[in-house]
Amino acid sequence: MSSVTPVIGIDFGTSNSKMAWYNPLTQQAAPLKNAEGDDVTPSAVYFGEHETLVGQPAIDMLEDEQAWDRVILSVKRSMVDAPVYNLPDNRVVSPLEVAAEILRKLRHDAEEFHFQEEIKHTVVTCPANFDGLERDEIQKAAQMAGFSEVELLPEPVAAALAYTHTREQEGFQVGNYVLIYDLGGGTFDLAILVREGGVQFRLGLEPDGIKRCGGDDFDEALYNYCDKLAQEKLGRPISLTGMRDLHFLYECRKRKEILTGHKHRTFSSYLAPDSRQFKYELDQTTFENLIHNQVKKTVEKTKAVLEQAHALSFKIDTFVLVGGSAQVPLVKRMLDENLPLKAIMWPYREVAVALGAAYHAYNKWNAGPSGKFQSTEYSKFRDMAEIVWRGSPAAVETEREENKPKIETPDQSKPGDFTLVNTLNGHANIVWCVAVSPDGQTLASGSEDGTIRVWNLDTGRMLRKLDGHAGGVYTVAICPDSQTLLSGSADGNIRMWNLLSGALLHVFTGPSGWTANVTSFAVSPDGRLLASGSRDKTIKFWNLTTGMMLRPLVGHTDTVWSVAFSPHDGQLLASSGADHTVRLWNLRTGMLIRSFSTQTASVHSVVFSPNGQLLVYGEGDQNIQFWNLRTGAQLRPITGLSGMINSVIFSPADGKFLACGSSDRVIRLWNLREGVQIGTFSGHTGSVQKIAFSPDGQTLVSGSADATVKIWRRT
Amino acid sequence: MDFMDKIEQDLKKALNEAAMQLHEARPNLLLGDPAAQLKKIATQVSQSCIVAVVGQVKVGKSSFINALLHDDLAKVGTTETTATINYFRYSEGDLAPDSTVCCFFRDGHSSYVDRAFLNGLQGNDIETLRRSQEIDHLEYYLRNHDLERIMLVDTPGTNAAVDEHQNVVAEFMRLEKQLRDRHDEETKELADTADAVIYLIGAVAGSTDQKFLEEFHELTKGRSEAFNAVGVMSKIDLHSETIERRVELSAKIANQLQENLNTVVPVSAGIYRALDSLLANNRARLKRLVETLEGIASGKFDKFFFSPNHYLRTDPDWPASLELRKELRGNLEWSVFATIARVAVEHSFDLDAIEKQLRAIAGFDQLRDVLELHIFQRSRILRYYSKVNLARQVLNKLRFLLPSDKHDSEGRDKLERYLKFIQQTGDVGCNATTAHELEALVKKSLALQVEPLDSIVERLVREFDVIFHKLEQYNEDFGALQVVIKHASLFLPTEIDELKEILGWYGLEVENRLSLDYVRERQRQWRRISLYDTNSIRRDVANQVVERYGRIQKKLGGN
Repeated sequence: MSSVTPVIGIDFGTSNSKMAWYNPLTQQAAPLKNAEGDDVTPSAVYFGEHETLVGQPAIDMLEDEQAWDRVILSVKRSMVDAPVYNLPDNRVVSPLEVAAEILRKLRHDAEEFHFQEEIKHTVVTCPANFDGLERDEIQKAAQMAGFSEVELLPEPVAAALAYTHTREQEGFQVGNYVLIYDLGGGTFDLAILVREGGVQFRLGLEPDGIKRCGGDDFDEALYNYCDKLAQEKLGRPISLTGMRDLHFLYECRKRKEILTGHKHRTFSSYLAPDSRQFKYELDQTTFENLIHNQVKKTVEKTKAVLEQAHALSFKIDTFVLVGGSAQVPLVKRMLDENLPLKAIMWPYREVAVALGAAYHAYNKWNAGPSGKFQSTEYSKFRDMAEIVWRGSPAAVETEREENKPKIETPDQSKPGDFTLVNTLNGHANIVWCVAVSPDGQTLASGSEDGTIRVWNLDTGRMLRKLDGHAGGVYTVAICPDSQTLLSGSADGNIRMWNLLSGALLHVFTGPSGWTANVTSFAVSPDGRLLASGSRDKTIKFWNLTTGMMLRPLVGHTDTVWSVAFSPHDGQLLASSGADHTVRLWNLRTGMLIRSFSTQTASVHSVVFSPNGQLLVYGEGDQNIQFWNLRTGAQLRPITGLSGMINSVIFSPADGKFLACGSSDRVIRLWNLREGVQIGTFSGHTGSVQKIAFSPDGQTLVSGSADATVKIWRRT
Repeated sequence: MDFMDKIEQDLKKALNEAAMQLHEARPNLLLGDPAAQLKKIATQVSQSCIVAVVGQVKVGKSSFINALLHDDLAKVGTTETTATINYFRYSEGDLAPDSTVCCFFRDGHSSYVDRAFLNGLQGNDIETLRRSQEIDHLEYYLRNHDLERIMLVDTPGTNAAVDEHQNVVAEFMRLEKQLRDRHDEETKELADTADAVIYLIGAVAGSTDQKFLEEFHELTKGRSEAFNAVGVMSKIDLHSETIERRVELSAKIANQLQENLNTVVPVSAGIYRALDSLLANNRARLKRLVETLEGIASGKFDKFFFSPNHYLRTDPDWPASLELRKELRGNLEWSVFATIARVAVEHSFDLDAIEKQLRAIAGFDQLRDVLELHIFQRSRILRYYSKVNLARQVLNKLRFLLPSDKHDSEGRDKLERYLKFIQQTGDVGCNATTAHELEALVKKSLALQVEPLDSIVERLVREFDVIFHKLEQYNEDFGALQVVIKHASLFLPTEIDELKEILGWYGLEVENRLSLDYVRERQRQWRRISLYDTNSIRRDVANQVVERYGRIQKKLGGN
């Protein structure tokens, strides 16, 4: 927990502000309550002689005849070339200071009541049409408030992010063109957002809206109506001073909220100065008539924006209502009646913008450079024991003096220490995959011919042929018990066999209608879990004990070519795909820790080093990339290869050697400790598809497009 | 230096500076050469504010413009060249008749044209179309006071007119369509690029506010902004019901369109024109009309004025001969004539009252007030505003439309990555000297890397943002002042005096005239109003005034 940078998202509003955080346990952003116990903090500051109050306590001071002139409200609209406000004691405050006080309170309340530690990072939202100068002012205010790292995010982008992330977590699909209808306290904003991938959005059109239109107007309409009622019933206005009775105005706000749920209510107020009782009845219809014109204006505006979007061929598929005032039932009703698109009333409408800011903040500061949600595990992971893949510091010193770059220059003269001992014929087509049992006895191979063959590793004798798949067998795995064989095929099925008897134990079928081919397997170190990558871009999990399919990992945007569990703990999963990315997932939380993007290359093979410190993958047909997971640093790659890198493996146990099989028919071997290539093994007459070490590291097997399996032994 | 002069200077400087920096940073930018565009905008800053009159074909734009320009145009002798774009510019001194109208041809040449030439553009035949096709636009040079501050553009109008001509040949259809399409395009462009727009809509069937609204929507297409657009309902004289309800209708429409139109004014160019002849020679014609009408027996008026036919019917009750009746009507449109007659009756034949009422219906006095307040007085701010926004658009476009420039930032990213790599792991595997050399090399190339276009644009746009905010503040003060004047009854006379002073009625340099204590006290008072006043208009104005005092106080060095 403590290794996560504490971050909050802030919706700094003209009349109200909100804050939220991202909860890694629920994987959802949630609003944070302020010291008063509310989600919403009025953007008001009271500058007393000895104290500064922010939020509702500041608003409350407005009712004090002695103190009202120390309360400053709604400064957001004039932050650039700002005016100053003078206080009774000849003090002067600027909007910047007022904004900073509001942000400081939010920060303080979040620290005090929630994080119990200092918060230095925040994402603050601002209106979509704020220009650079206005954004600078918000940034300055946040810095004055004690945030050292500040990022700004346009409000509608935040709302779209929050909605999309939440809904997709819940398993629903959200479209690519989102219209955000934001009816707040003071302003009405409309924005069209275009999805850029993941939950990232950009503005598709100039944002539009109405400057003075929102809940404050609704409150006032109700106030004026009540004023009329008071005249009729009591023969007096609400206020006898000729000024607005702010207390009654706030009551109107509450009445308004009550009327969203009640058709008809009787209310009672006590009017100043003599606390005269004022009993009156209000019903929803009356209230809706009062605000009908205001709402109609927003509907007209929305219609116009939809027409503009249509003209630009944006196919708006998602129409979300956010903002506190969107909850007035009339809003949705009128929108639905007048627009071709159904409006979605989202339960988190009031805090949507803050939630989006929280997601963005977590994403930014608790994730890797590729910017995806990262779990707390990552930091823990970085503390694991050290490994330096190119040897000890001493070795490094020697290398420096010799000044001899090693890895890039394969030492061709020196023969590799593996020699070909056996070529296994039998398959009628490409051998896609090979696997060696953990006891080192058996070898399994899967082929395009739809069969799996099981061989004695020592003698090379074929033990059995397993038929059943209706398509090529792309992947095989043998469980830690050395008895269970799993095979995945182009037919979309996964079969579980008894390796010794050849009996079919189980057929795993995916969700109905799921026919995507299974491209790759990984069995968790404890043998309980099977991960499978497939052409449908997902990584699926199967409980090998119960046969149940578990929640898939979604994120890759193209075929998943390879999956690997982290050794020992099996807590992490690495996956690689045709979408040019390698992704590292936390299996405990199901969250993406980090995504490594390659330049333009499909990644066919990803692997952890046996001690779990390195993540290694072949980048297209050129490089093998190394990442130190402890430091998060990218290490020097092996470059200049030729042929698609189909399979990269570490020698078991020590991880001293790295082998790679490529489409140029060659298997290469490096000594990572010394940083040299020690062998190039040819013999296959077709692309090398998959290689595997025996558990003792003494035997290497390879499956090839030439339909053979070859066995190589250390000499 | 005057506030507006300063803005003008800053804007030109920022434009030239931006053009220069952009050109230096990226001399070979394609895409319409933004540097040249900015330079061009710089040269346009000091030109007059362009006000476009936009309306559908046959909405009566020409008579409207004529009325607006105090008939200076009529003196030139032409009114109906609707098939061309016409610019009306100010001219000092009386020009010789042969150098009043200049025709700019599409092939680039231009020449002064005479009345015969203009008459040749007024028909609805194939020859007129052929001639119009050659013309880019006409410029009229008028000695009109209003044109000192603005340049008026008469657009050909939108929407293809349904051709009622009898013997249309294919050639005519083709030419007309070509011309129409071109003019549609040009009208849209003018409406989009003009500094201010007067949207004109004509008579609407049924005269319901909904119909008018739809027409305005159709015309403005949601592009117009209240900031620089005024709506005009012309030809309200076509239906007596529209005349009666004109104030109510225009208020309703203005309310509905308050985001798109500054205000909506009903006018009748027909009544306006009729007034000219009615009032000539000491109201001679009006007097005769009124005398005749006075003789009509009570209860007969509605019958006689039910239609043009009823008017001319033989009836023993008519106190005037048929000839006299024909003469009284003259060439007036029936609806205009009937309206005048009705006004005369309704105002008990009191000549002063009748004239006043007809002027009110004509609406041009009110319209001129509105234009004076919304456009003429603000001509410079409107001009600078539109140019600032244009500059921002030119720059912002670069951010989205130039994928080729991504290479720059990619190269930069790459170098930064190399540097990080060298610093992290570079000294592992080769000797320290090499590592340091390598590091120095990468750093050097990084320094040579050009600034990415994104960041250049970001930097340059800010210069314009600064000007934009100044203009916006000025405009908000101005807007508040307009509200005060419009709703004068909500304010005390002393308040109005104060607001006029503060919001720039007497110029903006109020700082020198006010003391710090006064400013503090007044800000406090207006803050009180902004919080507690029962009237939302007063609160809005108060908010603006509070800010204004806050800025003055800052300049006075309060604190």
